[in-house]
Amino acid sequence: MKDRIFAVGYRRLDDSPRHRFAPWPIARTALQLAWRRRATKVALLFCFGTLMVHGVWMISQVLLREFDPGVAGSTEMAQSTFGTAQEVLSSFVQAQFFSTAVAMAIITAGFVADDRHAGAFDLYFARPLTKMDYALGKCLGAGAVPAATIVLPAMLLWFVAVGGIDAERGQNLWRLGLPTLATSLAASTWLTGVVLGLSSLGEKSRTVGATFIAVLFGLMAFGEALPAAGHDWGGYLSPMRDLRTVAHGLLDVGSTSVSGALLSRGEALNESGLASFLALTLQSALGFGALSWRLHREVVG
Amino acid sequence: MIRATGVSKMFGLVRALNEIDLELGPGVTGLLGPNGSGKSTLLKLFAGQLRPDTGEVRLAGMDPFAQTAAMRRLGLCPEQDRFYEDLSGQVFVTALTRLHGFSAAEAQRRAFAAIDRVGMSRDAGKRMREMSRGMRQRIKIAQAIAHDPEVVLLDEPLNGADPVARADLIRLVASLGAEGRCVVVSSHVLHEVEAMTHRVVLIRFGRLRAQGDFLRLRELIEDRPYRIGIEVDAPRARAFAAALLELAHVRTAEVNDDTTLEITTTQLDAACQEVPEVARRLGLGLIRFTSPDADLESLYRYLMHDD
Repeated sequence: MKDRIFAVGYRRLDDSPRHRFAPWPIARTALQLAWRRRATKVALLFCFGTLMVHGVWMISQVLLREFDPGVAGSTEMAQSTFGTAQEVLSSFVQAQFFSTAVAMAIITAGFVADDRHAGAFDLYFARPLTKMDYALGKCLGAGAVPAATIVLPAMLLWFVAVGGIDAERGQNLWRLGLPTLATSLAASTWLTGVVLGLSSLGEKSRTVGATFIAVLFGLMAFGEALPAAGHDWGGYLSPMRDLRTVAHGLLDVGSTSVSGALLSRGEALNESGLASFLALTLQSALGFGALSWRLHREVVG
Repeated sequence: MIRATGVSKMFGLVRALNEIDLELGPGVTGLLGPNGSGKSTLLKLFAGQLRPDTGEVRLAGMDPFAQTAAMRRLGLCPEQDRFYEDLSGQVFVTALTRLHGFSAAEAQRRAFAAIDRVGMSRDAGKRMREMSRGMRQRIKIAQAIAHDPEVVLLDEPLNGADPVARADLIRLVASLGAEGRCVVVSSHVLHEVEAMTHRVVLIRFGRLRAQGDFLRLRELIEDRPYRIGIEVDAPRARAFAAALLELAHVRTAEVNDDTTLEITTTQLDAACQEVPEVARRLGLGLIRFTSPDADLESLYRYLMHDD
């Protein structure tokens, strides 16, 4: 500009290094927004209910083993009634997968959709953030929900199983830690990836939430119907069937107890645990891919 | 602080900006143009939210599109009026300030200071949905200045504000410029821009029409002489008009009635000095001496509506 009549100089910003982890405030804001809704608390209470049921189941097992009367056949009877720790853990991850799906539809469906609706991309990217920071922040925020409702409680149940009985009898339960973690992580990753993917495609959190539940049930319906019609590959479409297969494979769940039968949602499995794991991963990857595509479209312009 | 060199931007077959060359330094600059002229596109290019098809943009010496570090020096107040409706103003500003890498405590302190500066301390605890449009505008500005940026881009910052809020915001914007920040204000409301700054950039059809101090720009439009309305205290307007026509810069004089006349001149400054002298020589007193052509609106009218 030629007319520099306002040339009064300018101050440089204090460039002292600020190395805060940028995605965290993004996740925090997203969760903070969700926490303000009453539905969020109700959904989390629902998840807590599932945990309580499985907690009681697991504690019952532990207590029964701890106070084993030593009468012939009592151990077999207890096992046929309350099942094994593997069964509780497998059932918990599957049941909580459902509860958390509902919670995710309420809590995290608007994570990206609301940002689009509110035009928040302009505000976010007028800050020293990369698209990766944003995506990580949203993944952190969305992932925090299944981490709190599936992963941590599953590990807590495992601790109860391991710590509740003496070291000698609990020895074979120690090896369940890693499979429990892997199974619950697979469930959490699927939920996080798919809900964020759908959220990045939609613009209204309610629509996204409803679509998420519809997608879950739609895939499950196809995944159960196709193998029944002779198309075994169709089973890999169902995230629930994939998860069940992975859980059974990793946790080596044996026969189903009376308690397990009450809480079980069927026993149909896919042929390959590895393929089921890959199917879950692929579906999550599609979700993350949709998020990446959205960011590229919105930010590059 | 901001430099655009040969910047063009296409959206499909539409050329939104065409070969824009600009250099904006400290102080307030008004970015003016009709709807669809390319103002918002230019602001988005400055903010690194769009990549120019040709040319380059530099913000504090950095490429705002490629270097996220440039964003530390930028504050953006976008035009849209949609927010996270459930957040309070305080939480909203703090959350966005944290994205600059400040600790929670530091972000909160800065958010408080910025909210105080825009005059929203009392209502900062309200949820965004409960705020009036003017309050939301202030909160938007607060989030743009909370991290103390050198460059502040304000897209229609006065939209929806009531007259008192407008006056406050105008003072705020002027003070940001006076501190040495480079403040770019995009607006349709010419008299409000005029109240903030004399320095303007006029864009039309994606092309730069003019830039500089609007009073000087007005002087450059020689084919459009200034109109000056005059009223004298005696019924001798005809004699006064004849005397004024003898001045070299007076083009025409039109007598309306015995006491009022209108002249056109090519040099407003000279007219301001010489017309009162002529009146004094003829023993006349000036009751009114106004020029409707010496404001931003007339410059805008001449430059943006004449082809």
